[in-house]
Amino acid sequence: MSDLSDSELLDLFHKEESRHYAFNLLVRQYQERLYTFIRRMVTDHDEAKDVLQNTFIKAWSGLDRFRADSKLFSWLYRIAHNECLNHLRRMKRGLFVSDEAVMERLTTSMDSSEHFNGDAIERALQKAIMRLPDKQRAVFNMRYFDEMKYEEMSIITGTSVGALKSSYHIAAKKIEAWITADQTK
Amino acid sequence: MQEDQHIDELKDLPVLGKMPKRNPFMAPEGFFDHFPHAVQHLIVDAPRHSPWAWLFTSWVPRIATVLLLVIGSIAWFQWPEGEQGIASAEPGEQVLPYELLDMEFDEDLIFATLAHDEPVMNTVDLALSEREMTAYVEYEDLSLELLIEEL
Repeated sequence: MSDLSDSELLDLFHKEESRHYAFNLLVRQYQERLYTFIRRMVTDHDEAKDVLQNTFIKAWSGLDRFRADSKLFSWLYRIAHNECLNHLRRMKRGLFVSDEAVMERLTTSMDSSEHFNGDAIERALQKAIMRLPDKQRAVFNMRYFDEMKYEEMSIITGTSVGALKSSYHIAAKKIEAWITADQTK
Repeated sequence: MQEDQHIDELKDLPVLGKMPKRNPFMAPEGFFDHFPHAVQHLIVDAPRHSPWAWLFTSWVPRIATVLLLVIGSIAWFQWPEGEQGIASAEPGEQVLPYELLDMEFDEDLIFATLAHDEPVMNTVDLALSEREMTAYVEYEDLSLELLIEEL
């Protein structure tokens, strides 16, 4: 089935009799792209599933207030982005651990996951990405993998385009340096 | 244009520029077929946004409630003793009979007032001339004995 446009989905959602049907279509339409973003942020499948569920539950609660100023996907992506950051923050707070310990946990989770099928170079890239601070990692993933425009990223993160450009530039330089260092070991 | 800009950003980064952009994170088989049903099941219990939701989610009403309670408590304890809890109407204000049902009365105060042994006449301070007093006595048809006893 072809994807519905934002306005078609919203029209269906605003009718009481088709509200659940519309939301089901919305989940089907955006789940994979959001899952991929979340999974790159939290690495573990079960945690990614929980964050994705919370994202859609929040979307269900707030979709009446969505005023179509931005694209529906950007709005959902924004919720997912905030949910990821909150999840990682809670993880650090709950475990009383440092950023390094969380990075270690994410790396272990990736290494032991049966749902990771990257080769050695992809593994090295993911490990380097995990060394970035959470917000910078989100920026890097959006730009590098999803090739998102800075303007859209700005809507999602609530950060200026200039700040995002420099954040991405710094992140890319760091990753390049870390991978190069790892390869020369 | 966007793609060109993206390539430009990676031109000084040979390692990253050559990396494959494949997604190595896989979801379990059938996950995306079942996930929408799981979400549907969860949102049945999730409340939709109501126009009153801000009352429970915003900090403003919470702070307002706490302030109201604090001000109410201060006002309650600062109020002159004896007037607390007594229903009263302003002079000239009409109290409708059904409103009396909802009013609280201080029964002790009412009984204390009724048990007062001072004659009620003493509490009325009327400045009447002699002629007015005579007219009043004639009009009310009061007995002379009662008047003498009262005075």
